[in-house]
Amino acid sequence: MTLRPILGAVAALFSAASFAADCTLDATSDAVHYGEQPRVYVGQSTTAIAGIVVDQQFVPKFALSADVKYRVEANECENAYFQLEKAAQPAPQVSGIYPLGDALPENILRFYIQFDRPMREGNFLDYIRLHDLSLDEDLTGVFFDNQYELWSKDRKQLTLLVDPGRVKTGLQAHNAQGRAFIAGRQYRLTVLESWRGLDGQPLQARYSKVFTATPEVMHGIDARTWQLNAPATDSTQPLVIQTDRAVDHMSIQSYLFVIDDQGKELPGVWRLLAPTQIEFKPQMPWQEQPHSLQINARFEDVVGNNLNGAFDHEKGSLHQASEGFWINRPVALAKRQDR
Amino acid sequence: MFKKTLCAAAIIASTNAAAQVEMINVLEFGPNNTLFAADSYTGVVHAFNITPATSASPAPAFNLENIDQLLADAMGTSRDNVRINDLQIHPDSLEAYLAVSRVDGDNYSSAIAVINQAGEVGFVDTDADHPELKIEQAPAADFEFYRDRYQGRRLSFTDMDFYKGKLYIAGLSNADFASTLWTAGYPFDNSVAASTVEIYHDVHNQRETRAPVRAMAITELNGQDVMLAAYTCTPLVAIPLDDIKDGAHINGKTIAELGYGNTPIDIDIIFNPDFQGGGEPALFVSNKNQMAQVIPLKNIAEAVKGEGITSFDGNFFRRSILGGVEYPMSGLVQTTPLGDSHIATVRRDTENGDLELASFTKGLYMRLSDYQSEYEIPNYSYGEGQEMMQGFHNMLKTDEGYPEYIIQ
Repeated sequence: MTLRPILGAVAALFSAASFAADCTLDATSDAVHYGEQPRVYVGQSTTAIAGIVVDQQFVPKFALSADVKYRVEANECENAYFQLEKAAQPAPQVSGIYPLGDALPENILRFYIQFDRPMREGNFLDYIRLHDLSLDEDLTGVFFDNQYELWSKDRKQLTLLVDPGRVKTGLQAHNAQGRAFIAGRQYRLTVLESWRGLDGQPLQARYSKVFTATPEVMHGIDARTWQLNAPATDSTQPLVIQTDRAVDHMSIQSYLFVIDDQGKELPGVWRLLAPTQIEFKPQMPWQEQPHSLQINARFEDVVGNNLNGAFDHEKGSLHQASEGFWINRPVALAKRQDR
Repeated sequence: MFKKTLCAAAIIASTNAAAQVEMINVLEFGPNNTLFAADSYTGVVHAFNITPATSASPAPAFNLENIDQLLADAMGTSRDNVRINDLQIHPDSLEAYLAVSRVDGDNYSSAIAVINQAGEVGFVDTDADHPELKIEQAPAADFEFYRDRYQGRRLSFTDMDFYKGKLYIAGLSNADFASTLWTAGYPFDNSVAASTVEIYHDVHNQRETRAPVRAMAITELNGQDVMLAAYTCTPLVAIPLDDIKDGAHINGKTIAELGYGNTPIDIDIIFNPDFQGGGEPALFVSNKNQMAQVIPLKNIAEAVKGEGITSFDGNFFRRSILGGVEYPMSGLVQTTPLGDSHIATVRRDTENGDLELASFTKGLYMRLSDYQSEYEIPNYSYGEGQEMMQGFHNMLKTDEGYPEYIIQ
C-alpha cells in the first residue's frame, strides 16, 4: 500500500447532533467541541486519545479519522458517539509562481512555487524545467541544488534559489559560468505534472511561467520614493503602495507594518497586487489620527537588495553596519466622503 | 575586488522551517536525554530532548499484551492501523520509546510513543524546537519492492549507533542505490561524512554494494573500534571505524554467515550471564526468519583477526555462527537491551495476531508463560534433580507477572 503522511488538518465536517445547550457536539478531524473538558476515546476504550484541551475544545495529537467511531465524554454531558464524514481530496495544483510579472531582472535571486496542497519533499529539481525560449534550449545548473529543500512549514511553498554563486559578481561560479539569465532573452519556467503531493497524487497539470529578463538591479531600495495613496477615514479602503521596483512577496508579510500614533500595529491583510504594487487592507476602519507605514530595512526586492543596500554590495557600502533598522513613512488619510 | 559577503545563508535561514516528521523508523539514545530519530522519508535526523520519568529503580520487565490496541486507542484509530518501526529503552527510566506510524486509509502520521511497565502511554513532542541534521543523498529514491509491498524510501535509514561522541547512521543513499554509512558529530555542526560500503556475500556468491546494512553495533575488538554490521540473508561484516572517512569506499570483512533467507532485526553488544556469577560479552542478534543468536564477542574478535569469508564453497545454505548459541525468540518485530538483565521485544503473538511488549530474561532468552509443558499441567511437583529448573521457573514466573504460579 502506498502511504502518505498526514500534514495538518484534514477537513472533515461532522453534522452536529444536539444535546443540552452547552453539550452541543461539533467535531472536525482536528477539534472536538463538547461541553467542558471534553475527552475523546476510540469506541468503548478506556484509554483516552492523546491530545490537549484548549479553550474548551479537545485538540487531538493525531487527526481524527473518518474510519473510526469515537466516544466523547465531558463534564455535565452524557457520553456521545460520533464519526466524521469522509472528504474527498482533489489532486494538488500549482497556484502560482512568484515573483509576479513577466519581466524579471537578470540577477533574480529566487522564485517561489506555490501549491494549493502539501507536497512531497525530495529531488525537487527533477520536476522543474527551465527553457531559454530565445535560444530554444533547456538550461540546467541554474538553480541551487539544495539538499535541504526550502519548504514552508505547511509544505505548500517551495523557495527555488538561483545559484547565488552565479548571481553575485566576483564569485567563482559567476566568473566561470556567468549569470544564469541574460537581459533581453525570454525564458519559460515549468513545473512538471509528475510532481506528487503528500497524498501521492500527481499535480492536476503542468504549470509554466514565461518571463523576459531585464537589466540587473544593483542598488538598494529607497523606500522614501514609494507612493502611498490616501485611504478615507472611517473606511476600510486599502492602503496601496507603489514601489520603485518589483518586491519580494515574502518580505511584505514580515517587514511591513502600519501603526497608529500610539505605535500600535493595525491588524489587516497584506497582499502583492502587482510586481510594484502592495496593498494593505485594514481589518477595522481608519481612525482619524496620524498613522505611519513602518518598513524594516530587511525588506527585499526580487533580487535580494534591501533598504540597507544592494545584495551584491562592496564591503563598507551598506548604509548602516547593523541590519534591521526601521524607516517610517507617514500615511495620509483622506477626509471621509459623505454620501 | 574580492570583498563580497555572501548573504545566501541568511536567506536560507529565513525560509527554513523545521522539518515535519513523516516516517521516523530508527531511534537511538544519545547523551543527556537526547533521542535521535531518523526519518527515512525526509532524510532528516532529529535530536529530541526528552524528559524521562524519574521513578526510582523501576522494575525492568515488560509484560504488556495487546499494545497495538493501546497505541490505537491513544492515537484515535483502530488496531490494524498501527505500525511499530523501532524500539529503544531509555537507559535510566527503562521506559520504552517506540517509533510508530498511524495508518489512516492511504494516509499515515509518524510519532514516538513512550510506554512504561504499567502500560501508560504518552508521546514525544516532535513539534518542540530541537536540533536536526539533513543527510545528503537521502531520502533513498522512491521505488517499491514487489509492487507496493515495501517502499524503497523506508531503507533511507536502517540503523543508528551513538559511539564515543559520534552518531553513525546506516542506510541506502539515493546516489546509484549505494549502501552508505554516514557519520556526524553531536552537537550537530551540519557536517556529515559519507562512505559507501562493499561486502562479499558468500551465499550469494557475489560482491554487493547496494543492499544496505540492516543492523549494526560498535564495540572495541582487539584494541580497535569496530562496527559489526548484519545484512539481509545474513552476512556479518566487520568494519574498523578508522576506515569510515568522508568519501571513502569501504570493503567490509565478512566474518560470519548467520543464516540464509533471514533478515536481521537488531544486533547489540550485551553481557551474557551464565547464572553462576559469571558470563561474557556477546553479540545478541534478533532475527525475522530464524531464532535469536548470542555469539561470544571473543569469537568475533578472533574472526576479525582472520581473513574472513572470501569465496563461495558451493553451499547456498552455509552457516557459520562463530560458536554462537540459538534461542527460541520468535515472532519478533523489534528488540533492544533492557537494563542489565533483559532484552525488550515487540513481538507478534502468532495465534491471535496481537502485538506484545514483552521482555526476555538474558541468559535464558525464553518466556515460560509461552508454554504448556509437563511443568505447567496442574499438580506438577518438582522432584529430585529439578531444583535448578524450579529456581529458574519461579524467577521467570515473577518476572513475567505470574507470581501466583510459583511453586515453593
